[in-house]
Amino acid sequence: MNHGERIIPTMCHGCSYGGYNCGMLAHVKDGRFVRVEGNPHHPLNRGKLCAKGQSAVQWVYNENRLKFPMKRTGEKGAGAFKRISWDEALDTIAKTLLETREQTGPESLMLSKGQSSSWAGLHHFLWMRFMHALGSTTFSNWGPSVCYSPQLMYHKAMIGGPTYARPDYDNADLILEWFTGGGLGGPARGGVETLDTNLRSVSVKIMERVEKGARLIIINPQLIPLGANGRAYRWLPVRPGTDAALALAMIHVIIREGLFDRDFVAKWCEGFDELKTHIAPCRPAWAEEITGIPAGDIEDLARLYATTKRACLRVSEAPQKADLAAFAMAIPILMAITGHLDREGANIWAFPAGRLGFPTLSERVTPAARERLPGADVYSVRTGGRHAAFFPAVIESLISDAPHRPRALLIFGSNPMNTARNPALIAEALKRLAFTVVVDVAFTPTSRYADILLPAATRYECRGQPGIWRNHLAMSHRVIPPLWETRDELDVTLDLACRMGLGGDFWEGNWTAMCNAFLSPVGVTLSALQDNALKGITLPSTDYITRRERYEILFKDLPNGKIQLAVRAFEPEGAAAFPTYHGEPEDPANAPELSAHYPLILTDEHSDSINHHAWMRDIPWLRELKRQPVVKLNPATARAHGIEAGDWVQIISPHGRMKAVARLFEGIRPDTLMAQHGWWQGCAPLGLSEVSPLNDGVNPNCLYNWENRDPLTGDITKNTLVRIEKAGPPQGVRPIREEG
Amino acid sequence: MARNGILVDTGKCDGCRSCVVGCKNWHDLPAGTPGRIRLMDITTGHYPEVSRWLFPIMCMQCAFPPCVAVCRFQACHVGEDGIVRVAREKCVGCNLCVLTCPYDARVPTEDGTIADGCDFCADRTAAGDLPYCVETCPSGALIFGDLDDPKSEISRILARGEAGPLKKSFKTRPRVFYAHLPLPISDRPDPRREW
Ligand code: SF4
Ligand code: SF4
Ligand code: SF4
Repeated sequence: MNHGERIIPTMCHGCSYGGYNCGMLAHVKDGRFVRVEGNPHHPLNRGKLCAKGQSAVQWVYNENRLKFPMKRTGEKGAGAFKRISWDEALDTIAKTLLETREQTGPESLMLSKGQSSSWAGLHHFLWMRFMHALGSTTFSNWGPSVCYSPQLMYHKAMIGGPTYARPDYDNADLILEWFTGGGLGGPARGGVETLDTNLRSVSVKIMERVEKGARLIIINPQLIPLGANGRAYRWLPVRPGTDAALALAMIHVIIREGLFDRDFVAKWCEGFDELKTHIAPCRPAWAEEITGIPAGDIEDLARLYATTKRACLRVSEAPQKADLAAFAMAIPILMAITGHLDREGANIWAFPAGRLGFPTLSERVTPAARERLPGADVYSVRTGGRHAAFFPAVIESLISDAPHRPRALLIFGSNPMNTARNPALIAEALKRLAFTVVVDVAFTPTSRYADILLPAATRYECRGQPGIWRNHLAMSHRVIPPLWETRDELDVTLDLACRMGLGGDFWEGNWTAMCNAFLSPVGVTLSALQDNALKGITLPSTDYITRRERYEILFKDLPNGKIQLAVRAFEPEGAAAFPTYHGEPEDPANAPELSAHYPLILTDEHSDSINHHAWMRDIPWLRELKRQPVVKLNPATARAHGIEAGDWVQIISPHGRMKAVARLFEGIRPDTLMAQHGWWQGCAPLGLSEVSPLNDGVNPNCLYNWENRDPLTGDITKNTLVRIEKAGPPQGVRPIREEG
Repeated sequence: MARNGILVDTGKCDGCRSCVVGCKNWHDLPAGTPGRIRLMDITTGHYPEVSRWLFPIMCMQCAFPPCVAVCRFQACHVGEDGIVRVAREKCVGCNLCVLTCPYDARVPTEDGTIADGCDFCADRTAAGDLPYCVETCPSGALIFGDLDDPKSEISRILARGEAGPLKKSFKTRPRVFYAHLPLPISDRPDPRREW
């Protein structure tokens, strides 16, 4: 029903911003975006929306929106800006980028984006092309890659494939959700490593399957919502940061009891005999001591996984980061030796019917510029073709004034002050940049360090961008014209390119031509897609998409075309060829001296169903459901520390401090505190003010030791030891202000 | 005239709160007020033997509605469609119904001048659409239908004895039912709001 409102089909942007998401029908009345509902013709969500999608209107009309181009007038970080025109802003940026390239080389230009555009979406292609056209490859998500790509590096080295082997929930009889949010988290925890590109469809599939009798096992220090209402067959509350020991003991049991898939191992795996020797000491009793999971439960889990024909598992964000190698290698081994790969109900590789994109001109980057990339010699950067800088090296190059440090940084929708570990160091690095531009829909703590701030339109105000999921093509559409002086980031990028004399490489600034180029690999035109706004366009499926056991193709880039149960290539780097458990550096076993003063283990969850990474907490309808950042702790732990439900507490690690409201929860290990990342936003309609990302604010990233990293990928730990005490609420910070 | 009801299949609810926020979106209700539908999040037992229960509650559309009985201004009333609702123009904001409702389902609006509650989306059902929460629940945990029609999905589930009212101890004869929710949970004395 429409209440006499105009209905515009578009896509939500709550998950992968700018990519293929849930289909939405936006209602417009008298020029105002008034409400949304799901688009029943969209195959991903079939008329449904999640809480974030439901609140699109409040996201667009938000007080925290950045409204005009501005330039900094006060100290970096102080938050004083003055309004300027778009012309002045873009001309200044164009001139500064060209001068910087002239003076310090193309590699001193850097672009970073966060969740602001989907990976491999139109924005991503355009921005890579923009940097490459300038001769720079220092594309970074400026913020450590801590979820998706580090773990993927290991998976690809061992079991091949273009991306993760993803759980085929639709056909599974056993589902292991391993340190996931069970479909409720951000893409990091909810959706990325699944067949679906959005959040909600994951848990829906799992619940449907459980209703049909599949068994669901939750491996997580806390009982996630997916395991509620009697759905979890088992909940295994593993001690945070010890998951690799659990996985290794499972491998031990499977091999010891001969439960592995002999035919698959013989035909497709290399290194099995050595693995057998390597895994011999990893007994369930050994793992019980480390993980807190009883040996008998580990044996049951291993047997169930190995003997259930259609068993899948999902890992999303790795639960171990400094010791990532152990976990990220054990998981592919588990899937491989049991033959649970690319078979129905197991972990399978999913492919879209086509890929969108245009050439990113990477040949314009000289080998010399690539070699000067910060962290160029780090294993994952080197073997990944040096197409992106290594985040810790970027920060270190700035702090140490290294000759090949970045000087000018363009940030599109990324907020490293909140999303990266060690925010004090990030602030220092941001201060040392000669020139920083932040393009965002809202003021963020990171935008305080910008020289120029550009107001992005939300996707509901933009002409749209195409996306693909499986064989369905769809695009978002403009619901209302951009509010205030906001502009589409795609247009801003095209405009900037033209002002820098790169019009020839950028379709002379023509958006339509760019979209057509992006769509050309699938042979669909922009106007055809626009004409099919409601239903999108369904491409023919191919045999390759639906076929399974495509091993010849999937493993073809692996040595001898076979799964590598040992990765010899890691050995020259000083890393082990087999998964070898070390544990996170700051845990009770590895740091007993810290344990004496900091008796609890802290880790954090990315998001939940009502917020997403470091944004959306300024949306009143969402914020009212959780007004303050919470730390979950067991009631027994709270009692021991004199803490009651709803108290503000201070959490102190050897590296920093944060505050949160205590939520007492029986469904969490008593030795564990679960904080939540991404809090800083105020919500003025509810009388809540913004909080600093630094110490004594509400940011768990202050607590971790940023030096504790996985050597091959730079993944930074998210485990530390803490103590907890009652405290007052955090101080609010003064909002960013506009001066005369 | 159909006698509509809602069945909450808790097996399919994971507490995503799409129904909660969706209701505010559809009806353009302000933030800062309790809203017409909210989520219960109850954990029972002690670590590690723990169960967690998540389910939405809204106006139960009682056949014997105490809210109507106590309202002296005929604001809380049963409409021609059999649905309990508040006539806003008659409500004086005395909040008697808010205090009386055993399910905590009547809520004061922001300024406290009026009582509000779920009316199964009367605007939508009048046009033949489903209530918004039912339409939008991503996992299909909410089932709407005619309780008098033995062929409706809701009637068939009830006939199989798989669902019952939230609180068996109250005799108000709700038209909202819960499937797969064990008794001690559903009969907890006070369904308080939780985050
Ligand atoms: S699941 Fe993601 S894409 Fe879908 S409605 Fe929610 S936020 Fe939007
Ligand atoms: S929308 Fe559905 S799954 Fe989500 S909380 Fe409501 S009833 Fe539960
Ligand atoms: S649940 Fe409460 S508000 Fe709804 S009809 Fe019953 S008494 Fe009235």
